[in-house]
Amino acid sequence: MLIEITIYCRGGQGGVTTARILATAAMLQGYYSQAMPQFGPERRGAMVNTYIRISDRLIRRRTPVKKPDVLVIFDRKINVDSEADVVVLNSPEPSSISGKVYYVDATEIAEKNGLVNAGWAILSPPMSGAVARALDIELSALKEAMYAELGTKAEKSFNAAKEAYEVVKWT
Amino acid sequence: MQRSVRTEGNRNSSGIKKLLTSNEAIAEAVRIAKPDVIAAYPITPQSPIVERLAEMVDSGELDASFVRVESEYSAMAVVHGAATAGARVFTATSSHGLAYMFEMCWWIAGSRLPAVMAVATRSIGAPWNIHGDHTDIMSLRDAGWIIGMAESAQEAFDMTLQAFVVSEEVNIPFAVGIDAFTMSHTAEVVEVRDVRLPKRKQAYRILPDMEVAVNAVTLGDARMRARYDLAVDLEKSAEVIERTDSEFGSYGGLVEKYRLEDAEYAVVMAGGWCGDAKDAIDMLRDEGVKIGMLRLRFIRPFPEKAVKELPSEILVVDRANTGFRGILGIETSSCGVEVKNVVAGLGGLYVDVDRFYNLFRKFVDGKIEKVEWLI
Repeated sequence: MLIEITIYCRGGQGGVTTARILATAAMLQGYYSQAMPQFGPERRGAMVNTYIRISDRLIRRRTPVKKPDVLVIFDRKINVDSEADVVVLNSPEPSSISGKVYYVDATEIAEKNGLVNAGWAILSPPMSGAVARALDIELSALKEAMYAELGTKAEKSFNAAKEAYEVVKWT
Repeated sequence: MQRSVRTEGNRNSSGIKKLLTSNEAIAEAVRIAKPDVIAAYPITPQSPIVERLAEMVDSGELDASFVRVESEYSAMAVVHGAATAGARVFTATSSHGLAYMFEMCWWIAGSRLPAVMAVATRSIGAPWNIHGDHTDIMSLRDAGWIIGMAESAQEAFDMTLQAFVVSEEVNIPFAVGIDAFTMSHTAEVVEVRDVRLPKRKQAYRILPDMEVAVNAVTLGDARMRARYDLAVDLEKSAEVIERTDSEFGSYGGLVEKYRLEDAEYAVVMAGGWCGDAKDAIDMLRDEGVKIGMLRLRFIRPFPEKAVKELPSEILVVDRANTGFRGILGIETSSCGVEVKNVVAGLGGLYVDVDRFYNLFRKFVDGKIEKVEWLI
């Protein structure tokens, strides 16, 4: 089994952190995992990709994901042609994108939990929660991963992740 | 001579799993190796290694002197000086940083001093490019360094620890190569084993208040003898690498033989991009093609014996070129075998599983020229 995930987000929204949290959570559940940023000029506000791989076998490939099984979209204004089976979307309502769509208003959850930096909602916690639900990752593994990655800042972030995990809906 | 860690009983120690980039994995290994002196100048994509080490020194997690210098030239000069005083030393660099310290790389090798240097292998300008190929680290071949190339963050961790043991036993500096970004910045599952390395021992110590002339001017006979001894000892370091392999992950010593047992076609490569290539080899194996890989874990000492055992159809895929073929193409063919040579993946150009599959398929179909560039 190999699950390949591509995150679409804007620089500064927390795509890399999300990848690391989810890869750590998968590792804690006994899987091999990989979190890979897009390499190059990563600018605040510009569209960037981040990649995650999860497998029950050693992961050897280290090039970007070309045909993701799961798409994660942090900003619904980012237009993505999807052939993925599963899409996780930051949006209060489902979209016409193909595949099974998980949707949650991650921006609202981040803001409600005080996760804002320089006017930008920090989306990595709620989006990690929503993706963890879509991937069937246990909440306890997600919590441990967030504390491992975020240290003392994790409590507020985990609250947001837990909320998204619990309220995310799907089509 | 250092004792091998074999006597320290590291073989069966198990570790804890962490999600680490190869940069982070190397920093963890260095923490465990307990160096006395670290000197480095930041450069992409190596910087996170020494940033992490600086944090460890600052927090007291690592009891070492971290010397901030104004250039890579000085970084290597500092670790050279500290090594003459008997210290265990570490530095890291990439690309232009390695080019800038190149002169000192010769001094430390010629002085027969042990040191470990991580190289996040990156192309050298022009044109300016921060991405991965193997051009930089290959330049250490002629200086007289041991050159290892890891494929994964786990191997980067294990090889860095082994590097201290090997380097300090044979008194030759050791470079650990990791592919830029696809390894240096890609997080993977690493088992961090808290091994104990023997303390470094040196027969002499040169300290700042001593009046000693080091590396006096020589005539040809002394220089000739020194270079000969270095060449012989560099070849002999293979024995130490192989003897200590099982203490540091059991990778197979100088090479990893991947699906080579019954192979009729062999691919020769080195570095992190071998992972994608192995997945492509598996696809061809599923189609019944008898193909395998000889992964060169070491460029120096060069694994000549393993090359000579290869089947007659050999493809060398290089990530560094010269004005005359790829570097590993030249090296491999110097062992007396006929090779096809492809230069690919320069400046971080991705060669993924599909591209490797197409390349290997073309090789098996006999359609690769003597030397080709995958552009």
